[in-house]
Amino acid sequence: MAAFHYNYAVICRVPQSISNRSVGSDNYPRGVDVDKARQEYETLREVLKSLDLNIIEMVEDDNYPDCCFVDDTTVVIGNTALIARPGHISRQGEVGEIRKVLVSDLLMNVVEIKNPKALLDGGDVLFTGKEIFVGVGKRTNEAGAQAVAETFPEYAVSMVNFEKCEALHLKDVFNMAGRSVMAVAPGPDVQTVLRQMQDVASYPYQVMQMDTRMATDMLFVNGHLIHHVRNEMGDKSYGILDEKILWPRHHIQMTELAKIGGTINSLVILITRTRNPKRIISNIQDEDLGYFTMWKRGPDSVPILN
Amino acid sequence: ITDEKKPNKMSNKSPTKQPPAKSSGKNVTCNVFLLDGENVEFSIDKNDNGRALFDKVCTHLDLIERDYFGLTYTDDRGPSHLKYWLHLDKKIAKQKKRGPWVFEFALKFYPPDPSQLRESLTRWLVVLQVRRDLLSGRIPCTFTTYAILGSYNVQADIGEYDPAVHGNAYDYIKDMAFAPNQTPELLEKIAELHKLHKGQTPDEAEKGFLDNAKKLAMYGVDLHKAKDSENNAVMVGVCCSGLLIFRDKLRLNRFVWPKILKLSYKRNHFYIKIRPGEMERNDTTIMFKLDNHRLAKRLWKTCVEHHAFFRLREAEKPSNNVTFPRFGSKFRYSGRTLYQTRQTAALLDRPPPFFERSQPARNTMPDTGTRSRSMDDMGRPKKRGSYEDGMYDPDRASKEYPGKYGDGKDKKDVKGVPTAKAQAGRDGEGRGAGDENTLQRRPYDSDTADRKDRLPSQGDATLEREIGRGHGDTMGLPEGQEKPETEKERKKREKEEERKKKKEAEEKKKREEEEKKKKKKKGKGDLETSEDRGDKIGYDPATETAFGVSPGSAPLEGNGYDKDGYDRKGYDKDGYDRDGKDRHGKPRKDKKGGLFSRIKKGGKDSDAEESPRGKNNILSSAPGLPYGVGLGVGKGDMTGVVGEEKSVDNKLRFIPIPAPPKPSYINRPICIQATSSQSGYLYLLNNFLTTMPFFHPAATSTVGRPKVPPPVLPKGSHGLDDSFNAPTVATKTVKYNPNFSEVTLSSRSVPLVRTETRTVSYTQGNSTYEVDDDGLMSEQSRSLRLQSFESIPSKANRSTFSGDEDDDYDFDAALTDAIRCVTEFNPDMSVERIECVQQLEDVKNGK
Repeated sequence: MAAFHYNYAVICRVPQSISNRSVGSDNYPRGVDVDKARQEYETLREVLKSLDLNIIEMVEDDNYPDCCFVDDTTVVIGNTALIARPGHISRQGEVGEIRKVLVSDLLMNVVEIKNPKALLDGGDVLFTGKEIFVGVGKRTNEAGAQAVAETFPEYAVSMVNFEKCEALHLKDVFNMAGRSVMAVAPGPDVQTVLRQMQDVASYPYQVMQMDTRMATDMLFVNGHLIHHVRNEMGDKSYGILDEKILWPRHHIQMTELAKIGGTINSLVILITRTRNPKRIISNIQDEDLGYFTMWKRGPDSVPILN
Repeated sequence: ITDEKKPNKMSNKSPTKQPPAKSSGKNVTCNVFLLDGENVEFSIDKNDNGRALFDKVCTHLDLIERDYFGLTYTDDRGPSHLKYWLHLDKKIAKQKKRGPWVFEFALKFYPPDPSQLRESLTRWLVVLQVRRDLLSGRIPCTFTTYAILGSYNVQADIGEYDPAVHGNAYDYIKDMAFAPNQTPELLEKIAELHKLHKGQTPDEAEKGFLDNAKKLAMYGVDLHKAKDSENNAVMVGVCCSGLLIFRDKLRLNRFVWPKILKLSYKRNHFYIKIRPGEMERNDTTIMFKLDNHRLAKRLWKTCVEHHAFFRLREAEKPSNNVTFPRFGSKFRYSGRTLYQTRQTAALLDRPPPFFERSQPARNTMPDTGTRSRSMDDMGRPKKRGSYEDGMYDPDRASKEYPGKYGDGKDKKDVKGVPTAKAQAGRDGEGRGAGDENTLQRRPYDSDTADRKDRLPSQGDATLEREIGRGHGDTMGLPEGQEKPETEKERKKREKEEERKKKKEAEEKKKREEEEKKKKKKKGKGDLETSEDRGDKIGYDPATETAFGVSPGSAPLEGNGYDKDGYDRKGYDKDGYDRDGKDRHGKPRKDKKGGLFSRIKKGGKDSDAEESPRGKNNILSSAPGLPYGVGLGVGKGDMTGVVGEEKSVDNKLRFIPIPAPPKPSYINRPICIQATSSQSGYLYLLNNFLTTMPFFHPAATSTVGRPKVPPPVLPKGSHGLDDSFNAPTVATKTVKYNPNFSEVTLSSRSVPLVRTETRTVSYTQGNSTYEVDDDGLMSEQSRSLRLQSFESIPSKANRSTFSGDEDDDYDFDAALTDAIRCVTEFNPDMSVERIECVQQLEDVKNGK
């Protein structure tokens, strides 16, 4: 079964406390406009609903100002979910609710991190459909990455050093825009990480270089790409999407949540729940097998066929 | 005679004592465990090589696509889970020294896409192997994946789900093995999924199985336990696309074949030389430590074979020349490559063979017959906490069976110093004689140093020779890594020192380690002394080699080498070794010294033929030399091209001969070959261009291994060239008119110097820098420009060159000299073409 085909999405409402107590709100002394943020969240929810996803919406908990960023709390591939251990102390309690949902509502095979020293933010785990990259150095440590590798032994789990990168999470700067298209944020720090990924990757991806970080924030779901609106992405990046992405797109505005580091992909846990799978979840194609692949990149304006 | 040979070292030599004739008349019964658990007995001649047995097994299986498979055996000196691949072109007796001849048929090269296999029989065997890997934890999976894969297995083995026969529960599959620690839930799930496969034939189900299995991260990854340079435990995985480095289960690095310049091993160290990335200028070498020398070699061999099988179009032809002894391991992959086997399979035209899919026997396999890890899993499923525990820990088995294969000796070795030492000593002595047989010819028989040269040629006989060490190594002690060093030391030491050692051995390990290091240094010093040498020569050449060669050992120990020592070192290694060494930061000075001393030495032995390799080394190691020029007579030999590899094989092959006294040009920018009386050899220093051989001891990944010319051929040296592959690098050659030279023909019989050079010509604008792109070149070589210029006498009697104009060297004179030189040697020979090669070292690193 191909990756990026999901039938469930777990999301969590925006709590009131996000305005001034969230991890990212320190930079915004005036706080975040909660109403606007909620609006943005609801837009995303509607978009997801339109994509054949069953939405599981969790009620916010004001004790956890960042609880709407559910993606950090778990890593889900197929029927297996690894409960993360967020690197930021204030967030570690968030996983409790998520765990309940995964176990009792979705009947997932839930795995806990055994190593007490491990730290893992879901946002540091990039599943490309063929393999997994874990950004280590910021919110995730090597033991955390190791836990990912143990939990998903079917996939090559590669560690990339993310320490010197400005971004907080790996998925702030790398995202899959299609089956083998990777959107990459600008900046030398990101390029360094990209090079690491290219070195260690088993499979090739087409690199789609964006020129703002916000433009990199996107979510590829069931053949559709959800991304920011044009004025948030910048004209050039938006143009790249116009040029290259031939599959349906949805753009949403996310200004308030982005202020505190929120991204589209951090707001949702996507789940493929199959009762009787016949194949493992993977986008590995026959032509990917056994070759010494190099990544393609370049300014070519050729549209990417997904 | 599935005999237990005596552990005694001396008796291990027995194979050499046996008549080398084809058949000994004695038959040995081999037990071969097939992938479905069946144990088949084959009777083969005691002197048969591996292929004889393998062919019998394949015939038994009716297997045609056999190149993916191989036979493994366990080395009784090592833990039982360590399998060695039976080399098909070597005698079995030389590989499986002791213990009964028990082998396992196994998948050696996992086809990246098994759906391309031609026959369902082959696929079935692959399935069986993968199922074993699943059970053993080599391919770890999650519950869901085990269930998916298992359901295909059930469909293939049992067929359609039939409620009447199978009922609703999972009882009908409860005796099948799907996962290391399978639960009723898993069986239930499998039974459920099984129902969905309705209508699939066994072959279809197996295709479905493999379509999933081939995507698993650890499919086809052969893991080797190692430590990185900081002593962190890592796993080195060899797979079809290259090497993978893991720490626990996390992938840290991946080196695809095109990225690797060279793989080598020395002692217990394994080196990967990486092609510099876009941004970097220098290639880097990454070192891993294995527990012992044999494991390092095993890893290296696995790499050689995987590279050849998956990356090359055809395997390198082993060079069978009798003329030159080859230095370094001769080991090469000798079978068909993936490319070839696919081609062959495409032509395959036979009705699908009938075979019965027997269920893999689950508990019937004796320990020795099972793949070790699967043995653990199967035999004692309950003991396993979880499959994760064992899967990356090859040592586990060894820990669990500490004494199993340990005869008294092993144990002693573990603790102990004395046994190993004594044995080693004996071993060595005995070996001296034995070695002679193995070696085809040695250039410097009488010279001790030269014997050293031979040492590196472990390729053939490594296994036997290593016996001495093997004991120590096998047990895989936690500090196994230090072991080889210890033993070496021991060997080196004289008996007094041995005693000392004993004491030390009892000391704490850490202290021991430190001391060892110190001693090692000392030991190396000893190496130079002739007394020690005698001892050393004898035994365990492999180790010895490693010693001489060990990366950086020389530099570390300081420059205290006398020339002799140097020499020896230089010779020891074949070129590749040398290269490797250089990489590892030997000071350039040393190299220079080495080079010169070698040259000198060469001068002494007039008859000596040096292997082409050896020469290469010299040359390639020469970057320290300011200028080298060679004049080649005969057709310039072209570079061997390697198809995909894009490597340039710039090896020089020539036969050194003492030259007649002539003015030496050695210091001139251009040195006409062999004119220097001092350097009897014609060392074509354009060898700077020598590319890095891909695999260390003697290997190149390149296809075209040059033939080595016969020792001295008065004529026709050109003929040799024809057989080489097309050059990658263009060389301009021009016919030279022999009439031009007003050479006095001397009647002196002077040996002919014949050279084959591979030259790279650059146009001045550097527009063609093909070599660089091809990447197999060493960094140093890039820094040198080699210019070839041709002389066209018909044009105003002047040579034209494309060299640097500001060089006021008299090329005409040089050329004339050269021609005279050549024609003098052999009046009969007409000079068809002369190529002058000038090499300039560009300080600014090329371009």
